[in-house]
Amino acid sequence: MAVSAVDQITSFLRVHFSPETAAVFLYISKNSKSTLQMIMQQFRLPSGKVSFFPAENLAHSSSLKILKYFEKSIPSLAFETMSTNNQVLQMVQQCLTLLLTHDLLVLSRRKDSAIEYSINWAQVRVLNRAPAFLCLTRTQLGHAAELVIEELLYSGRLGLLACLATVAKRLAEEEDETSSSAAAAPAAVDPGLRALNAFASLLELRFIQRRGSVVPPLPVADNSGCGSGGRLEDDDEFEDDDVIGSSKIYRVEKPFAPLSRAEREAALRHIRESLGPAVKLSDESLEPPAKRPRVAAETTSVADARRPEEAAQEFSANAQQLRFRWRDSILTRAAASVLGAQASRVLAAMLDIVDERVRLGHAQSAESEVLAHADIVAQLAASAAGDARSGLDQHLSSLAEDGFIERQSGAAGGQFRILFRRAIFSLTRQSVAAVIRQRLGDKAVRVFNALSEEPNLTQAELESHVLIGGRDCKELLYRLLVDGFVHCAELSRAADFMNPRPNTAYYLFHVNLEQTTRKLLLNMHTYQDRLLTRRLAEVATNRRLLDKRQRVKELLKNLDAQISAADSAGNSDASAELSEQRAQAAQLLTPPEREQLETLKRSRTALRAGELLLEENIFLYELFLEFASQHN
Amino acid sequence: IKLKMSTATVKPDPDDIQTRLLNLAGQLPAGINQAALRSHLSDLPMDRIIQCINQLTQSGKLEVLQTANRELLWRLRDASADRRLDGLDTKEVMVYEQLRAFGNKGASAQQLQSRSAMPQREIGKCLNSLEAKKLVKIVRPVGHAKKKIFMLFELEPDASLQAGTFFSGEGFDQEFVDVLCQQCTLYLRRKAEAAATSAATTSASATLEEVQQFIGQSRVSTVALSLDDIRRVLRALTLEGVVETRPGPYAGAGSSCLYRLARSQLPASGDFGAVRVPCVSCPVAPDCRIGGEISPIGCVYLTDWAKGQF
Repeated sequence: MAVSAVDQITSFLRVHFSPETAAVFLYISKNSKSTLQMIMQQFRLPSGKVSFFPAENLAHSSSLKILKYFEKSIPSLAFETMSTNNQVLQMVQQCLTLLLTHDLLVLSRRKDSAIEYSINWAQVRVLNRAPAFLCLTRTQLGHAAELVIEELLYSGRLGLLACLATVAKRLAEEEDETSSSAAAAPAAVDPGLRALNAFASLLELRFIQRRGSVVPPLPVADNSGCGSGGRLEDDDEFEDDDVIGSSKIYRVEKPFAPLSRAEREAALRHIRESLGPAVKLSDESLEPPAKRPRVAAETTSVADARRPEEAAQEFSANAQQLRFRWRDSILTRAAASVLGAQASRVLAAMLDIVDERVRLGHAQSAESEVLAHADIVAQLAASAAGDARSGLDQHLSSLAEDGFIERQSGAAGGQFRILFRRAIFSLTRQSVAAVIRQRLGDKAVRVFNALSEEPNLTQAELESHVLIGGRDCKELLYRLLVDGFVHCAELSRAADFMNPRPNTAYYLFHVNLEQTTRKLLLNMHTYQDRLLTRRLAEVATNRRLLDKRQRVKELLKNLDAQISAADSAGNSDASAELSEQRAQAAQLLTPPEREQLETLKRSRTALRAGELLLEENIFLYELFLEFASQHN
Repeated sequence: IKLKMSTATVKPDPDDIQTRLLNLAGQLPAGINQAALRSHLSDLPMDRIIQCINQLTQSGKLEVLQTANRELLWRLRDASADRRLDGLDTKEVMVYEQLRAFGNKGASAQQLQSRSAMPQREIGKCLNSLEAKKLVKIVRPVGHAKKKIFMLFELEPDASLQAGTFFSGEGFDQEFVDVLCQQCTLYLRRKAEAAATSAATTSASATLEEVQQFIGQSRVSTVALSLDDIRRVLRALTLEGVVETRPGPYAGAGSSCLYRLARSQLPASGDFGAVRVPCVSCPVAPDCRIGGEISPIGCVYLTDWAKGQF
């Protein structure tokens, strides 16, 4: 795992939750299978007194243990002084619960019944890929769906009401900004309904799923017998069961059950209450407050401070479905670029059929199950791609020729199977060839493809295949060898004197795509790290200017609010004075500063786009290696 | 009077020995080796046998061969066999038979020596004699002007030895091959554009014969290019990703597939984006370190790329 991935998650936890949570995560990432005792040890002073110290007291010897887990943000941290073991235990339990909520921990039980915590690296990867998943969701389902996925990814698990309230609020704020900047105010759009519809679509398409909630532990009685300010005795006095015993994780039988009418009504009511009367909602959202719906709880609920209908039912993003959809998006885009939009819609319809039939937990399979011609026709008719039915057979033949699908039989229009493995292999080879073309030129691609199709060729045989002169071919071959795109095997000198060339050693060249892809994957991670570093460095360099812009923006917003209040009160003098102040405030940012901000914005957008492009390639290579390992 | 019986061995009649040798050769069509001679003609002295074998070889009734184990074999010569070998001595016949085994790839003097274990000078003399009698010729392989390859006079040298269409006096003609590639690409691009504008009445694919005809009409080559030459050029373009092939049920007799411009070469086709990131093709990428002299933070390539994006 690249170092930057852990750093990103650590900083995310530090910013959005607490430094202690980040410290616990960082400790477990470096010490797999840690127990509660081990984690507690990190926050204990040699003298036995458990305390955290003010940020300026960094000379304390025990601070070194905590220092290494906080690295860059040390000067900004301030700790409370905790004097009891109970407080420390409660703090660590809360951190572990938070990490469990984000699915960042994997639990296992030792032989002595102690519970061990390890990092769920797959989920770390999901969080690192969050921008790519958000881009995918926005492309396929729209902005509202993107906001829902964003909330669920960064919160781990959320209740229906909390999630929709936040998303509706963000949509309303965006609409306010759009309407205030536009010349003519657009008609009010119901943000609550948009959020709810997006949520329902995501649940129907299995982008999100119902989860049991991770309940934070109840306050535990001080069992150390030391009283306040007491010393820690032995490690054995802490029971690991205290964490898991009170943090119960429930399974949901029907994770993709659609939203019930009662849930929809409760959600709309909650949105109305949280957004207030300022935002106009559609009449559909208005319900008599006397009728409180009963939400069917599918799991055992645990009494806690939250509303009963939320306690056992939360939602989280379904990372597996996001991966599958991303894979499908890659295949349809490849088909569109090679065969055209119509063929791509046919392939998308076939992928939708496969998606409906795939169950939760289904592993990445090399081929789909068989799809009948009639099913494909029905799916095209149901989707918006009805015009792709004309010439369907031709599109299917084109897709079969290019290796995306395979015709199983010709009866009743034919039966087809999507060849995921073959398509991914082909795309990977094309991607590697594209990298070679960028680095070494077109002739190097000839050499690479020739060796891919016919392995174990000598240099002389290769020259006649690719029609490149001896010297050029030799140079290309060696550059490909150095960069790891091509590999070499030596046939040692023959001992047979009847051989016409007994003193010659033969060198046979071949392509090992798996090995090449692994090397490229490592390189892609490195390039992504560099782009991220550059982006963060640019933000850090221009931090002062960005803060200034934010302050000016807030100042202008406040002045706008005051101006509109003065106008509505009929106070023209105050309004004129405020308008003058606003004009002066708008000049706080000088033209060179504006230009610098514009350049920074372009640069950040380009770098972020580059990171997404690299992430897509990384995903493709990981898919390829996954299929290759299944084959082996 | 006592008669003394002569103890001298009666010398066998040479004609008898030759007859017996010919009969034995007829019984062993694969050839007679020394072991067969000892077993079948054990009653005869070996020197007489060898003498008769030489006479039969010179008269053309037997031919001498050498196996991979350097064992000599004598075989009954076919009546329709090459009469040109009459008058050659044994060593010359051996060298000739060795060259016949090498076929149209020929052999150098060193290869002949390692095969036959004859001294280098003897082989040289034999080769000179055979060359003078127009039974053997010398071929200079492409790229090795000083090397001599010997082969039978009537054989055509193998393609690996001779220059071929894509070779000039100085070796492989890369410029000529590049021009041919450009012309083929141009023809297929015109076909694709014509197909795009004429609404499916014109095919974007071309057969091998059509491409050959176009190349011939374009007069880029002073020599006529065969179908095989055109196929090799199109194959190289297929490997480069410029051209793609499709099975052609209605293709001409000389080819079994159709060629067209690869769809990735057509405009409005997407690529697989990571190659757009400058780090992928950066010449100093291996030396780039965060905090080093070459670092992404001050990288001019990234700066120019970010500007060029918009």
